[in-house]
Amino acid sequence: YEPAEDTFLFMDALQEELPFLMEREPRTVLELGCGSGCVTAFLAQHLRGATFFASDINPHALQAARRVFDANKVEVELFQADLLSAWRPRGNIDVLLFNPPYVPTPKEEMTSSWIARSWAGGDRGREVVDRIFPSLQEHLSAGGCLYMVALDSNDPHDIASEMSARGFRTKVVKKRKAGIEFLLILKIWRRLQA
Amino acid sequence: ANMILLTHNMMVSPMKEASKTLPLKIEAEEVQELEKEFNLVFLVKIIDRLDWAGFLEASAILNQQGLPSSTEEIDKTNEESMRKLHHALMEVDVVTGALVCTETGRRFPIAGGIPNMLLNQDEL
Repeated sequence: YEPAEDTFLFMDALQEELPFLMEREPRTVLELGCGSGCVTAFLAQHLRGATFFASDINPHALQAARRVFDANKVEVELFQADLLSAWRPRGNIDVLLFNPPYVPTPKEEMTSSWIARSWAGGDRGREVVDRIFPSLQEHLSAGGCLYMVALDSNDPHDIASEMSARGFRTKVVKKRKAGIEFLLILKIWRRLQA
Repeated sequence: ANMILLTHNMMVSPMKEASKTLPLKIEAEEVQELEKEFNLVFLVKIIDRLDWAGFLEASAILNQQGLPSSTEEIDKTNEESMRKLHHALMEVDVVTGALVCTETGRRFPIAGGIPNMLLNQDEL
């Protein structure tokens, strides 16, 4: 499948989620591993009243993202970081976006090159995304949600049950066949207290 | 893309020895002033999210004076003071400088308005 397919699916899903998002009036939106920034640029054009942040580990991605944001006349605060390692864990994120490296690969492939880091996901394609689940409770605001791209091979039911144990609901909001796989957009958000 | 004080307020030191609760200290070399749309509704809502003491400390380093010393002192109906707050939070951009982890002394450089918060191999 073409790498851009997941970006388009992500954007299509967020387009459909706009009524939900607008009702929530998010103040802070953060995209991890923003790459060229297309997804944040898209959402920034449609969602008013929030400050947009985007980060990536790859300095070339950040430069590309900056050009995309300028071209689309959206203001996005950029920083270079490894996932949420430099983000204050205080419920500050209303919308978290992540198109992670999700392809199942041997572990060594994950750090073989800058470009490999954007798609190589290690065991079950989960090794990168698994790093953000444990701290999601501390990072998402009360009404906050995570949207992420996944493959069937990433075992989304396992993700859902891991997040359920932490008080989150998981839903596949969009799905598209890509080669022999299915690309999924997952939405993960806090279960409301009874 | 800018390193504005709102972004600074959202960040912490990624050093494993750091507590994840303290603000980073700003070292500013090149600073520029931006113009960003004033949105009172957003501003009022984001105030709740801020580490106010950290914001005041960082504002002082960037020569932003006359800010309320606590969130209780903020008068949302006073447009002039809200615009001053908007300016300090959203419009002062550290283009070159550093964010310093006060617990370890580690400097995270800011270049082209982008802070680099990556750890080195030996810090992982």
